[in-house]
Amino acid sequence: MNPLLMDLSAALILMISGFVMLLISCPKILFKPRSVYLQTLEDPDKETVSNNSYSGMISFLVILVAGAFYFQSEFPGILFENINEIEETDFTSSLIQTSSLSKAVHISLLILGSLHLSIGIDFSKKLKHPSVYLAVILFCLGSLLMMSLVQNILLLFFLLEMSSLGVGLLITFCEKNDATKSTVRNYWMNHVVSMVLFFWGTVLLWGVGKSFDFFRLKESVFLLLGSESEKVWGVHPEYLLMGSILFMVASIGMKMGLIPFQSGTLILRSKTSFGNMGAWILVQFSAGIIVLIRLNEISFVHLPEKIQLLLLMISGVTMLIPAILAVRELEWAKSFSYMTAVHAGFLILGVASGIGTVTAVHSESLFLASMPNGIHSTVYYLFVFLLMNAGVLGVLVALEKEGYKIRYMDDFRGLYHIHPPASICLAILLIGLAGFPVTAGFWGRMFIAINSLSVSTLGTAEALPLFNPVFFVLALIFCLSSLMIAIVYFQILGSMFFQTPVKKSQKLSGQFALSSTMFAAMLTVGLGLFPSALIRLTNTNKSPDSIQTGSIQEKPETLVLKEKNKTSRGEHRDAETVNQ
Amino acid sequence: MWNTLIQHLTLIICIVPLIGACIVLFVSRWGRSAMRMTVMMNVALSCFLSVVAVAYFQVPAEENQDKIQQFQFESVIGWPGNLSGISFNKDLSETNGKHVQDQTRQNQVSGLSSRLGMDGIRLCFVCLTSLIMIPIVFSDSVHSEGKPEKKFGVSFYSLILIAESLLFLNLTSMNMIMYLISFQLLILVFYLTIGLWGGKEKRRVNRKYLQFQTAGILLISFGLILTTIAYSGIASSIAPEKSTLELSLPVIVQEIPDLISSNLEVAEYWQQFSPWIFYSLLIGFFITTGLFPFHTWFSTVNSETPASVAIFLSAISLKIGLLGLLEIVFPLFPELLVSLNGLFISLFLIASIYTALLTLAQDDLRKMGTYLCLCQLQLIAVGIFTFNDVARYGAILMMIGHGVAFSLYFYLVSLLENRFKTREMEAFSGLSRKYSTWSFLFGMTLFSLVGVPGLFGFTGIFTLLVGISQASFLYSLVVLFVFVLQGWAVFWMLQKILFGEFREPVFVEGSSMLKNDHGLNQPEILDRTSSEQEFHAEPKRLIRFEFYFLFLLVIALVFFGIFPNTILKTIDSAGNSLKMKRESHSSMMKVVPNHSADTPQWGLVPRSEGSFT
Repeated sequence: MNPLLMDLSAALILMISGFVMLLISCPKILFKPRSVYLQTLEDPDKETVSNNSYSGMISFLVILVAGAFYFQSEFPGILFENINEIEETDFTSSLIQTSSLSKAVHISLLILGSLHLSIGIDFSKKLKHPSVYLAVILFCLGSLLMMSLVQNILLLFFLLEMSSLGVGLLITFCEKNDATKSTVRNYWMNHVVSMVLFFWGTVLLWGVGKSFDFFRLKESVFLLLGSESEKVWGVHPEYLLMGSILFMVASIGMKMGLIPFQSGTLILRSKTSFGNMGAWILVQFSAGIIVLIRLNEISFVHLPEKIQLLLLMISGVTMLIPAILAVRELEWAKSFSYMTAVHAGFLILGVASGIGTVTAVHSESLFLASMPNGIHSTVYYLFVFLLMNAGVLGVLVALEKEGYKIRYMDDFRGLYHIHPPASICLAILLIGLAGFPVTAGFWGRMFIAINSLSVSTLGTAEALPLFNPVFFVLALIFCLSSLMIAIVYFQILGSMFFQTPVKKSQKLSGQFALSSTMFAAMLTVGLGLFPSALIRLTNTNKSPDSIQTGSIQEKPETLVLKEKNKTSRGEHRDAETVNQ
Repeated sequence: MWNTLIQHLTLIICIVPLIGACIVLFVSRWGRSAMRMTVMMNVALSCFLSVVAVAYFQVPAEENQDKIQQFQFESVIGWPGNLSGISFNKDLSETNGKHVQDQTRQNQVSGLSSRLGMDGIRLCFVCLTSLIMIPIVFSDSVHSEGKPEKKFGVSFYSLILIAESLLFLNLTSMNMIMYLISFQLLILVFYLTIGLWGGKEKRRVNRKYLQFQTAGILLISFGLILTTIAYSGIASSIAPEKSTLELSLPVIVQEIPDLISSNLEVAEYWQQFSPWIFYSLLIGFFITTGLFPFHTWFSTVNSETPASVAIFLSAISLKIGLLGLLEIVFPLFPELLVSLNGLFISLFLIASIYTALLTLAQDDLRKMGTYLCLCQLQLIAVGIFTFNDVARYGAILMMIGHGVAFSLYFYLVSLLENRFKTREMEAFSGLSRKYSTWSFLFGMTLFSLVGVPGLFGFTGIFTLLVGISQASFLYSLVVLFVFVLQGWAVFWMLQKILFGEFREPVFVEGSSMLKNDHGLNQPEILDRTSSEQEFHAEPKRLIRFEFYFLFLLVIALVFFGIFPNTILKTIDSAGNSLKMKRESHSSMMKVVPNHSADTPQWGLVPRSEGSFT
């Protein structure tokens, strides 16, 4: 069966589920617009409510139309013309990978966007500018979709900053919490600094490749690094490349809240209200990971070991320090913010284990080719993490709407006795975030762990691989931080189920937010039971047939790189043997 | 039809409790009695299937041992959403594993599928799991009037059946991922059970249980993933066209020593990874088993859990870790273990003396049982680490006997606890005068635990002692001393609560309830000897009709005490996984230059003993 058709079927199922959810969750809006309108006339305070609902409906429609465009052919619409052209060129394995990843990213983002819109309808009801929230979500979503497609680094930079701008608008205009002023100021300061950093990174990269185009950059960087004598601006191009990557990673680190670049992002995030926090995490995490994956295509592959080490160090501290802080923290919002940073660390570990897979390990090792590699695992985990995150925040938004103040861990006590369905969904999502089976979180973590360990253990088919203990240490930190965040998630679970409630049972009115939570919980379990749906989506370029028959053509440079890697590995091995 | 059923017996055994859990959800509308009846029928069916498995299990004659498959009743289950496009499993037909027979080759599957099967040891543990479900089901009655207590509802019955199913899956699964999934889900189920029906300290206890168990399972996951990846790396270097991720644990465990002994480069490669894998697996299994120095969670958790979880933990869950050590760690790292076994044995012996002394110091019946359990676990670990076949047989026998006896012990103590709201030893005296059935069962349980001849415990303890004495006389003396300490503690307890003047705590309506150290409500204790009339007027029984079911466990204790050979033969059929791989081990010593065949600094010299049977 055609893999594209299979992808399409899997994605369609997801889309239909989303649509059904929409139909179930908003019958009032769909079938009683007149009465809502009349109520609004009677009670002017309700005006925002009706506007908000209509805005939500329009937003959903936009997403559905985008989805319909996307699914109508192999490569959809005007936005994707570039990809069609690119596919006709000789750039094969890496570009096919890009396109399949784009598909996965698009579908994931469409689903996540729908969830956040649904949450946003409830969240933005009492805001001054309710439709701004939904519009910004759509705007950011569009930016993210574009980011996975563009083949120009300057455009990538522009879109990245646009998405950050969107989050800034949310925090500026759609914030409910009291500490808004300082939060807004700090966010914009961070935004400017990260923008400058990324811009400098782009400039340096241009200096190396003398182009903003991805493919030209890739070619010229490769040629330049190959020649020993040539210097750019009086500096060896390798240093320039490394510098540009450092600037870009630092910028992404500031946006995502990676340590040591976070500069207060984690605390800032915890001060925002739950709806904004969800949007912030969705936009910045997706943008950061997309940029890292795109950079992997251009520049990471040329300096795999150094970049890997850099990302591993960032990943290690990002997994460990926030996890310790989360365990010690009593305030829920802060703890949650720290734990999202830990998940960011997991994602960076996935990216690090995926570096160089396009050229070196991926095409050589049949073993790695037969399962999702680091990048695919990262995309998988990104989606499931954001999904579970959206679900958790959906419940919190619904609770907030009812007047609950979830400030401390203990505020969850007895929630099961007050709202059984909501708390069961929340429990499923928390179990997923803790990485327990049978949820999507378990598979996501499993793939990242397997990949990070595989990188150091599997080299070439001809010889036994080299031993890289850094990945082992990282995997152990991965285990340790998983344990620590699992303790926090289970603490909340325990509070919900095993403690006596403070309030009497009551019905939650935030139906949109709750329905998105239910959908997220169902999808978490669904992907836990049927993980193949999303893996196949991220993995279409590597169907077993194509691997066995060697249908993936290899670009000459790729082969040269392979040879180079083999030689260096061989030399390294010889050196080790001599030492022994 | 019957043949198909026998062929897929393992799968059926795993699924039956799950179906039971679904039926319980359905019949919950007809009340607790209906649910309880459903669970009891399900447990009876599981016991019946276990008996069928025993009847159809082919125990080989000694001369035919190689001709019979180690794993029998093999079936393949696929993950619901088969990971098509991701070939996790290696092509089984190409593996050289001795147990991969023709029948298994037909079961080639793609994606994440798991083979389930039973060898002799696993069969014994499956039977043990079925058997201990009897006291677990009855642990829902509070006043032993034969009726389930109100607080135990549909969730309780469903959870215990799910736990049973997961235990079966964990014991019979040969696939690494399925093993880890069942292990993690088991932790989740026990977490919920403790949280919902635990004692006053359940929050603290639950947190501790989760911390330790999650840490353990994460380390085990790390070790197992690394093992499979390292194996796949080795396999891909030898046969590049066959390289996919091999997840079958028996295949990995059997093939890695062979590959290491045949290839110097592979041996060097393995040497790089082995310490990482070894220590993560070892510490992981130590934590989940509650072995010294990671034993603290068990003593805390077991005293505050509901009786059902205490039975599950002490009777079977802890043994999963020991089995993991025996079947995964020992065959893969003989040289590392030999170099460290002296250290470990010393640690376990010190821990066993310490816990035996703690047993003596306890005044709480549940805590006493917990420390007794911990003490015996350390001794079992000593038996496993002595690198002696006889001691290992003894350890396995002891694990099974210990499981049966402790399931009864914790159930009987929970009866006292539920009736009298206390488990302090001081509160009871002369119980045999009034509660003769309870006293009979309690006595038999404790006699078996301390190794009175003619009971199951004796066969295990005796075999273990023989094995340890073959390895080191000094160690056997220490072990003997520990058994004496245990016997002292147990007989002192028996004398105190079963014999002497009759005394039981009575809850007087309106009287103030005292809180004891464990947060339990402790009623005022009245001296009932003064009221003889009352004593004879209404002799209430602690155990009613459930006695006939519990008597099955006593029969098992007596039967295997008198005929230990029946179970020994079954265990012996596991053969290769149990006996030390001396040949591959010694050849590995020759290949790997860093590990000379000299006597290691810390370790015992492995002694070659034949099969015990």
